Amino acid sequence: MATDAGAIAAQSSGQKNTLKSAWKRWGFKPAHLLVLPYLILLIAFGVGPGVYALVISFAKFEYGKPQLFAAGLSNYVSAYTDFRFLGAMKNVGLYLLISLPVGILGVMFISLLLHARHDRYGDAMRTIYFIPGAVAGPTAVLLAIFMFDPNISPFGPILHGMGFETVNDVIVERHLPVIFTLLGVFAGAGGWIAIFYGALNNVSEEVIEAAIMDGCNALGLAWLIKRPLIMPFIVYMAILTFAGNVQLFAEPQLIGAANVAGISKYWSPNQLGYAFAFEQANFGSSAALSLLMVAIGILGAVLILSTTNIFKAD
Amino acid sequence: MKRTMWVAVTLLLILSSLLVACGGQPAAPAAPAVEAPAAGAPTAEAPAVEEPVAEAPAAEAPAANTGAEITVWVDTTREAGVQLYKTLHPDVADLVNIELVDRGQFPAKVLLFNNTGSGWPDVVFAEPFPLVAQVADENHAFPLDLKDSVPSELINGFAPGALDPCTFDGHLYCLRNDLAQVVLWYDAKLMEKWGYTVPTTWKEYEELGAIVAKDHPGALVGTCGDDQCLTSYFQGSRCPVGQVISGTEVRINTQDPKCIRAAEMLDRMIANKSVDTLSPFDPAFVDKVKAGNLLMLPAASWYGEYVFGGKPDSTYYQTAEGQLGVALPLKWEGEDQIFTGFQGGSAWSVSRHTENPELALDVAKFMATSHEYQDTAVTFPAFLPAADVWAKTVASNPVYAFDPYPVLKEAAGMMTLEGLGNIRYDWQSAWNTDVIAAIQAGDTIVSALPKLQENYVGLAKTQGYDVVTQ
Repeated sequence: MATDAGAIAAQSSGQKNTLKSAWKRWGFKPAHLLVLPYLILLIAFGVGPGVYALVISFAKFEYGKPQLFAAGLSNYVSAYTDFRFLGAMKNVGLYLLISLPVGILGVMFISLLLHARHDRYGDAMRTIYFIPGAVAGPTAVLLAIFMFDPNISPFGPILHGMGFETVNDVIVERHLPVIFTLLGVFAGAGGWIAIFYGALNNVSEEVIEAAIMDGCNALGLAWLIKRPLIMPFIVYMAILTFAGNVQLFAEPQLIGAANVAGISKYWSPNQLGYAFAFEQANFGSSAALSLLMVAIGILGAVLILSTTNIFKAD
Repeated sequence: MKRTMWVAVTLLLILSSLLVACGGQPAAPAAPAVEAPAAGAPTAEAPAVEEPVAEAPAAEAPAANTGAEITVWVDTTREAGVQLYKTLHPDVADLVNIELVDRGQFPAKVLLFNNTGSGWPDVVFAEPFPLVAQVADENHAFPLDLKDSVPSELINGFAPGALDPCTFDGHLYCLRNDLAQVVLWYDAKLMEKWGYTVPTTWKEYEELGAIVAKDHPGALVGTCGDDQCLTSYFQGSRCPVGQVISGTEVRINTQDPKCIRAAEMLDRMIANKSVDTLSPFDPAFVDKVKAGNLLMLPAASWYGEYVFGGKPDSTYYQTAEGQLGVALPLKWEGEDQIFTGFQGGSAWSVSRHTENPELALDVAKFMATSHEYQDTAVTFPAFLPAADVWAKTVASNPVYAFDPYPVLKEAAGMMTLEGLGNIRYDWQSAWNTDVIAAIQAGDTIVSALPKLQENYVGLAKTQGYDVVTQ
């Protein structure tokens, strides 16, 4: 008995040792604990649902209940060959084409402009730009419907001047990419301006002084000195904006619900995914489409990162 | 640096595999559940899952619990009716919960409840198609077959054909609350003042429209600005946008002469501005009505009480001075029978998952057929004994130029399901996207029909229909 106990004790102390050495060998530091809360949330709300979608995408649904791995690739085929699929991809593609450059260049321009004034006025303006960000996405849509109605909007004279008479002239399907871009910039730009402005504040005074000594004017200072130094933030914004805009859902959904002239219920791929799940009871195709959107988001990030090499800081 | 990466990746993999294991547990028994439902599900569901369409024995289910609470899904207009039921039945009032919902979400919510195996509402107020049609398919398997649980004398009391939209492959899945037959409303005072006669055919309607547009610029004889345009003009023409051949087959042909004749007529009338392109509820259109510019409007029977009204808070007429006339639906040239469409005419369905079928059925029957509720409703009761009493309610409203009831009742027998029947796809949204948007962009309806065809065919196929396009 005693020898047994001794053996167990020895074993457990041995385990402790190997654990300790593993801890050391793998380079764990207490700092890693700080990542843990994020990791838990990432798994619970990002990776977990992703894996669930992957499982569901191969499931066949009968009577609303999943039969796992019974569908093969048929959910993928039916999702990617749906008659609304190409249209939705085209819509969101066009939206990205407009919203990404406008958003990024606009935010860059305003932040650099603000930082050129780098005083209390600049600080105050940064805060003012930030305020619309308090209007969350769906609320901004409702606000936008009023703003784009020539008969009640404060911008009515401008809209009338552009030849629009009713809200149905303004909110039509072919205007949506521009409308959503305006909405996105209105609600989202402020936050990014604050981030860029903070990054610009970190640009060392010596560098700026040296540049000025070398005869750099304000424009050169902004574009040649400050911009490259905040490039990681710009890339970061590009990745997040790209991934976010691909997932457009609430905006077209709400604008479609509010406007009788009929914006398609399947305008964006995510709306189509919603329809697969909740109109057609085909959760499998819905998952297949969602995974495609995730893949596009990740692909975008990988492309941007690999072409810019921006996070190779250390 | 690299090592840290590997640590993170390993950790991630371990955690996600754990998660899969956790997620797999509830999913695993789900597959056999098709044969035998999960333990938690009410027993009434068991046969329903095996053959969801053919059987609906919940009414006889042993699980019936007369003390169980029920949930009733209604809109604000119908809320008072359920409240009335509670007032009149104090013994069960505590068991009836009212929930105000957007009924467009009804099919989606049913799917969620099917997945979780609980939470279904017990009584739901919704349009027979596409909503009840959608929840009646095998994926939703929601409504209880009422054929055997509702006494035949009650069923026979409904207007002829009133229950057809609720009947799916011989199963009765809902009780119609009201009929929304399209009739021709007109401003009797204006008609007299301008010296016109009320048309009886679409040809006369169009001719009068042309005269009105010329003699009284700004005056309107109708509008085509939302999906009511489809039910007011195309459904009565029997344009096949969703002609049910069987539970799995529909006919869609927007190039059919019965579609083209309505589309061409409207195109001409929109061009001469006798027909507007705004929704009848658009504030701008309401302003035109208030300004005295609406001579005629083909619209549902509920427009009389609910939209024209004649009460200070009514949408169209705030005063009641005998100005509202009503005529039979219009007839197409060369046909001897009148057909008409209907806009709405929602119905009461009961869940086959209900734990208290007795109470749920009683509420549905009360809402659809009781004098207490239907006699004074804003809509034309589908249950004729109630409709005949309802006649007194409308006759006492001084907004009408004459008693509208005989016309409404006659029109009730003219409703047709020929071109648009109990289909599962959302015919309204596609109409708005393809046709209304085109009109508002200045295009003709005729030019929008091919795109509508494509859209309807696609939608029908996603709902599992075989589509005939000839």
